[in-house]
Amino acid sequence: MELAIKKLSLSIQGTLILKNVSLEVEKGEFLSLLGPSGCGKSTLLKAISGILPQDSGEVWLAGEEISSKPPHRRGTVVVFQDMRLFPHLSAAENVAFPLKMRGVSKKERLERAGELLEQVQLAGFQSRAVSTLSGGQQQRVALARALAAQPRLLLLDEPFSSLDEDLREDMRALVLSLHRRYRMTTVLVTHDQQEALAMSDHVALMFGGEIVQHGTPEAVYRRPVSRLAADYFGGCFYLSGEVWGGRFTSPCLTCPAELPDGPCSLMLRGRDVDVSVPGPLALTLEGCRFRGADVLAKFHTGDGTAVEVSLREPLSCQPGCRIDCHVDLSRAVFYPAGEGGRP
Amino acid sequence: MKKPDFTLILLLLPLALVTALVLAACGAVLLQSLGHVPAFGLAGLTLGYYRDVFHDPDFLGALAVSLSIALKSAILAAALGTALCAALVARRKTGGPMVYLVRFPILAPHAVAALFAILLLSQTGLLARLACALGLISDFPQFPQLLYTPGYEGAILAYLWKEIPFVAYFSLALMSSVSATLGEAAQNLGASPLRAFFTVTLPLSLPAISKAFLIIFIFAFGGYELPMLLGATLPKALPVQAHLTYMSPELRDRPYAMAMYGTILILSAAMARLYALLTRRLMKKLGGTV
Amino acid sequence: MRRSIVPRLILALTAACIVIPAALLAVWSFTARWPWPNLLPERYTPRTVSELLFGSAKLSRLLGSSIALAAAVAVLGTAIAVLTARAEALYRFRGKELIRLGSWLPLLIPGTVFAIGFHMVLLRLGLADTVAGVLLVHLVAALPYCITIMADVTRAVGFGLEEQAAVLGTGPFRAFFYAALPSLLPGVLSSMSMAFTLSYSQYFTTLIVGGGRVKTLALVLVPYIQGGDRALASVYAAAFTGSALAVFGIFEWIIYKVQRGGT
Repeated sequence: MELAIKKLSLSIQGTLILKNVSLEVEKGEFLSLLGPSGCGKSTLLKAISGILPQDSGEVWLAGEEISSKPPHRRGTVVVFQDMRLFPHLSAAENVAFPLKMRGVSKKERLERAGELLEQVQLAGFQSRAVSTLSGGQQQRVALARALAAQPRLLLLDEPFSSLDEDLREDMRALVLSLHRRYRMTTVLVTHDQQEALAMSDHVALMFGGEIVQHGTPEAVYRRPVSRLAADYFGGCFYLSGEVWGGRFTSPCLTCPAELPDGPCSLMLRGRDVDVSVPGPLALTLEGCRFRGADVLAKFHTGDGTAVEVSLREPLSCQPGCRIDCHVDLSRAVFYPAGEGGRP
Repeated sequence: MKKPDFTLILLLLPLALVTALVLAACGAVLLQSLGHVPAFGLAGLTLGYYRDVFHDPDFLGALAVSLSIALKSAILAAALGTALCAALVARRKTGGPMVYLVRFPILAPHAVAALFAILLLSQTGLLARLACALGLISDFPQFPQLLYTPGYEGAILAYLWKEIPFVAYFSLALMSSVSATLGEAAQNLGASPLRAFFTVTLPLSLPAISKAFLIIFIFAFGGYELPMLLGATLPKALPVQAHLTYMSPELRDRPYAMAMYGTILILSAAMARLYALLTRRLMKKLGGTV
Repeated sequence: MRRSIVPRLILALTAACIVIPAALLAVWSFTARWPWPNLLPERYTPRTVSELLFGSAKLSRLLGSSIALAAAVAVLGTAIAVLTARAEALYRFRGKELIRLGSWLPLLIPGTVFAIGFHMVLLRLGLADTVAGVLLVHLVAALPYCITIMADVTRAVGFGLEEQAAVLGTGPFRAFFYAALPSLLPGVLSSMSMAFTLSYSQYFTTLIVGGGRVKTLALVLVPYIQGGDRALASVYAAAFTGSALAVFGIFEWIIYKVQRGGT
């Protein structure tokens, strides 16, 4: 693999931020590091690029252990959230900066800078002053600059969060097309779930300084490793019951379950519930709320568990009415009590 | 932002009064330098005193001395102060005991700096005694004379003792923020720490450094205590010469003294103006964010 | 630069250049005899120090009046700075450039010229050779620093807290004192500390504007240094530096407490 992090721990001013983190990224892969604010994902990025020193652990890049190397020799380039374009240099000079550091001649590096600016759809912007560029344009210059450094590993630290919503989609498409073109190993740090799931080959989910799950977007979303992970993506509800003799029993639902006997929770998402098809799950309607793109219908089960389902149209029946709904049990995830449960 | 109202006038009144006093003070000096000293029976405006003073070799010598002191100390202090600032930033010291230590010379009066110079650099000072203990010299006249010399080396060194920390402290906030963001980005893109400093951090810290340069230059140019306490009898520094002429019992010398003070004032103003012009060009080159 | 030893060397050298002279001062203060070429004094005596501290009331009176003067400059200068900074940061009006120039003006005029001109103006106003006149000239010298500090803090705090107080029914003066001032306090203390130190260290302005009648510790220091008696000069310099550091330390301690959420 291209990048391997082994048991990396890092504290800042006495507080342990990264706890024994291990991670592997294949060459040319696009990995998203996803997690809530404060979980340590930006810190991990800084440790990989050498900006912050780690307490213990190893960082291997292309078969070399790079922990002892200073940041400017690691080949790990970061695109920062605040872009950090050099205000005293033009756009082209910014992009050419890494080449200048390598001793490339002025003519050559400015030519290359022009090419890269074209690839980020900023043809003709070479001599523009950085302060005259919009946020989206600045971020594209930052991207071009990172590419100019020909990194072995491209690290993106929440690069789109300072941009407006409509720009973000364009930027994501741009990053993906550049990734496809250069096939560079890329790690994107983000707290935007949609972004992570849509863009990546793999997703690493991070909570409290630890990587709790690592897999394809489908695996991480459909089979969350714990209730915490499931709740992070949201939209789920839990039916508590018991497994006995290969069957899960709860007041609302029973189904087969190949698990050892004992108390258990069954997790389903609102989207796994189909109110238009009759089925075993009895739900009582509380109300419908219009949300623009959809209608949110709120229900509760017989034992009081809240269930929220997204619908295209509001339901015709009144609040208080009872509907027996179909559930897609293939999407069910079981959490035996005491395992991956809530703290 | 609030719209102007009566309170605004009240708020600005004290500054207005103070500024009026300052301008009046400058005006008074300039007026008397042009020969208008009614108290001594001199009226009318003339450039004659300036003309006479600029033909006086003692005055020209004093002017040269003061300019030399100011330029040498300001340029050296700016360079070394920047280096000190860079060291503080590199070691991530933006507060704490080291910074307090650096602020100490800034707070000390010039007279104390002069005393330090005497205790350390005089021919019977600590350095001379150390040289003797190390066997480099055998008796104190052999120690080079740093104080009371016509080159004013002692005064320059004393100014450096105060001005290097000033430049460092003045530039610290800007340099540390530039280094933490843009300097870090530069290293990330392949620049060694030294190259990152010279290509990114230093150019973007220039606004603070150049402002500090202006302040220390004007200070050293018009300073009295250090050249008086550590300088040679001849040539004198301009402020010392001016003060001597001011204190002269000969009433007719008063306008000459004022012409000397006027020269100091005008040259300082010219320096400030030059600075403003140069920094406008500098700001354009550095882009809008600083 | 993190790994290089050069920054550490530079800081060590700087520390040495500051600590060694200060230490020398202390040593000389207690020196009875220090002939060439000894590296340390031959004979020590506490006499100079004790005479000065407990002998004539001269030093303590001088200390008291110098501190009082500097304190007055600190309070007045900061008050003016608070008002001016408030105008500059919170109001929108034309001519802000003039305000900025006015605040910076005293820095661009060398103290020697300033003192002479000021003395002449004060003569007209009848304030020459008085403590009030010296206070005024110190005030003007300190103002640029105070305004710079207060401008930064005022801009950072902004008008939001006072607006909040206003909608809760507080009048403008009380809104300022109770809502905004507590947040401005660290800046206020910083400005007072700076102004105090500046006034305390003034020599030439005190000499000229005070006409020799107003005596401060900084003023008295110079003849002692010229006098050639290094022990005596050191004692006075030490007394000066010690008292200045003590007041500075008190200010810093108060700032620290305020920022922690005390008072």
